[in-house]
Amino acid sequence: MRADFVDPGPVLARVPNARRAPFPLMPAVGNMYLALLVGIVPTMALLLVTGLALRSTKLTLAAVGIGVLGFLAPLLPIGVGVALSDTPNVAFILFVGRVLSVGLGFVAYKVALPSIRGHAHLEGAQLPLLYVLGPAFGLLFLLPGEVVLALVAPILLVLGG
Amino acid sequence: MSEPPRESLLASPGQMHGSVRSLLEVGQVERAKQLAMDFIAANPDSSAGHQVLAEVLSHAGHYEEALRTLEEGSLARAPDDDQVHLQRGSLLQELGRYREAEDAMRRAIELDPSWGPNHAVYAQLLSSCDRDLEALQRAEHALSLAPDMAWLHTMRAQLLLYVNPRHWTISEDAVRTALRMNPQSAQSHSVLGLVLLRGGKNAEAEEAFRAALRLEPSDRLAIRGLSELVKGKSLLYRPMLWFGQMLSRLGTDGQLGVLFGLWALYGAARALLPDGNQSAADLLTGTYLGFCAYTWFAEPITRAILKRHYPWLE
Repeated sequence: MRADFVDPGPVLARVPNARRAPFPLMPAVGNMYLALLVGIVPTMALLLVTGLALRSTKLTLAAVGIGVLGFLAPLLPIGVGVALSDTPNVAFILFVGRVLSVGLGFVAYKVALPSIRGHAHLEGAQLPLLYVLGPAFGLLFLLPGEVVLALVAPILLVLGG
Repeated sequence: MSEPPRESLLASPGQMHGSVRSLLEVGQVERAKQLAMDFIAANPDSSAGHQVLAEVLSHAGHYEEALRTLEEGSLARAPDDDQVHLQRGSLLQELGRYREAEDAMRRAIELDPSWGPNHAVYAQLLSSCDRDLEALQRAEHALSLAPDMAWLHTMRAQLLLYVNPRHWTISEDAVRTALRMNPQSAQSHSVLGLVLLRGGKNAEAEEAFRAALRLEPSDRLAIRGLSELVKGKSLLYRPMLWFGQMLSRLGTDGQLGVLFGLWALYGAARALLPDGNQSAADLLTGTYLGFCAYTWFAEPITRAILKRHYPWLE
């Protein structure tokens, strides 16, 4: 046995068992891109469907948790914007909101990756990233600004913004 | 070579296993299964017959049935046989039951820690779960115990490329070692091409991909690598190849960082623009959208154009 080899012990304890969804799934990295394009809340709605299709409690709960965080996240830039000025800079609020969305999208990517890989391992179909991002990209520029804002920061609807 | 007499096949697990493997190689799954079952009938207390039957079932894609056969037939009769645990681990891996697969493989290693293939198969499992660093360490340990596994040298080269792409010359040494042992491995030629591509040795990479395709015309890794090289020869696609290689050197996290960073730059620049400067805002948006379109849509479009000239491209 090689002297410098140290067995790190079991390392797959947190890897979920592979499950196959009955329909094609988006690649895990798409969560981050979609969060950037259409906001974290719609992205997590999609991940929720993925979690249910894969019968994964962890993924489903993560989608709900990240979705709730993403729903509340715009409160942070709004609060900062209001604290800094009487007339908050909407572009700043949107920018910080998007940064938070992408950050949460990255967390979603990391959480979804093992489950999506398991689906692929069992020869489950995967959608090309282009099929997801293409329409999302199109929607982003075709939809009226108010609708995009409602997707990116749906809490504004609740606040009456 | 003629087949050994049936009586001797049914008396010797080694001969029976060899015959079953030969039958599987020529697609005679049913005959292989029948031979394994005849062996079990003739040797009901032996675990070897069940192991071979599980192998046949696994070969046919019946993993659940293979696992049941192995657990009820072999594991019950030989609970301390490391090869039974290793085979069980491989079947669990096929079924996507990764934690149980790890337990089974670690049990095999515990029973015989000096047997290199036990570590090698475990390294494969770790690699398939994206635990590249642990897989690399395990593969290197396996090679220190059994340095003659050509496929493991190739896997080590690939893992080295993922873990430390800047040190691609070490990967090159590893895969060339594999090729010295088995020059007929299409996989090794493809990995060599990939390593050389990373090192910017495009002409040698092309030769390696072509060698892989001569041995295995449907080798996906070689087709992908060759298509990258073809793109690099065209003035139109050269910047794209440069961009793709730059992103590939950065790794997944780095790629996400680039996209995120550019978005952040765009957002910051928009926020800092003075009010009313619409043309500058449009220019910024146009540049950013152009970049997004380049990143997301250029690949399939260029591929479609290239396919008109190179129909073999995937």
